[in-house]
Amino acid sequence: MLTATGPYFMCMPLGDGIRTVRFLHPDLRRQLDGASIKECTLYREFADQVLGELTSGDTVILNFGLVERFPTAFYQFLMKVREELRSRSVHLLLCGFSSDILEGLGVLQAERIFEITHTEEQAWYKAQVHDAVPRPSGVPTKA
Amino acid sequence: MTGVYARLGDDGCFDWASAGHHPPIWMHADGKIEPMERSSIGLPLATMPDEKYASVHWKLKVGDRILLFTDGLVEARNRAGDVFGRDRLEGTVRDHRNDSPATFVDNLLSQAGDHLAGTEFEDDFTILAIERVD
Repeated sequence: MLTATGPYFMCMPLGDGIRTVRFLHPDLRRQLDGASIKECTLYREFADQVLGELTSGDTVILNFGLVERFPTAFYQFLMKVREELRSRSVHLLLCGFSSDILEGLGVLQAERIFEITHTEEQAWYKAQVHDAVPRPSGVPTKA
Repeated sequence: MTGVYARLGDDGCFDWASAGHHPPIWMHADGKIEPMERSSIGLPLATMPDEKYASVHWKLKVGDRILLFTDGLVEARNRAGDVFGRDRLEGTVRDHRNDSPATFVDNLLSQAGDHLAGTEFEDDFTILAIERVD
């Protein structure tokens, strides 16, 4: 059921219309470097492998469970992803942040802009409520 | 982009507003530190066109101090991955409350450097200390 995997994240379906994108590296600062966020390696990979697959009404869960470094550019990445997904009527959920990163996101008031859960399972339940789809087998229970 | 706008007025009046930025630290002359008011922080600048930013009004007494700083200080990370953090910063502010403001900032930098234990600061940062003297 693996739909896309690259060097920096893995994208998997978690049911009809729900995808999880798990970032695979603790430090993606180099991949977030670019003249603009749209030109950075991480966003280009995300656009190539995830955005094109989405249709209106889908949900994307971004799992940060392995991410240790969260520079400002990562927030800019999220804002750009949010903008793109909203234009396609795709629901976005974030999960798996460490306590350090959550503290920084709290100062940025990120919970007013994004839906954030602790675990991927919680995000999946939120997506399920939002999308009213049946739960598939093999859904991971940890972020 | 994040930022803090602050205005010093007469008789120790200090008004500030935050756009996704760490609120200032207010340390009273006796070393007590006001708890962080996260509810008064607004969104980073240009996030939402209709965002309204709340002003917070503080009245400083003689000997009170204000510390304004950027995230490059609190997010400074050592080799073990531990960030300097706001709690550690507040502890350092309290420990050095009897220093002159200039020495106070120097000691703050020194403490952050000790925390990094040989690693480099990854981000630029700004620190501004203000004390009411009369």
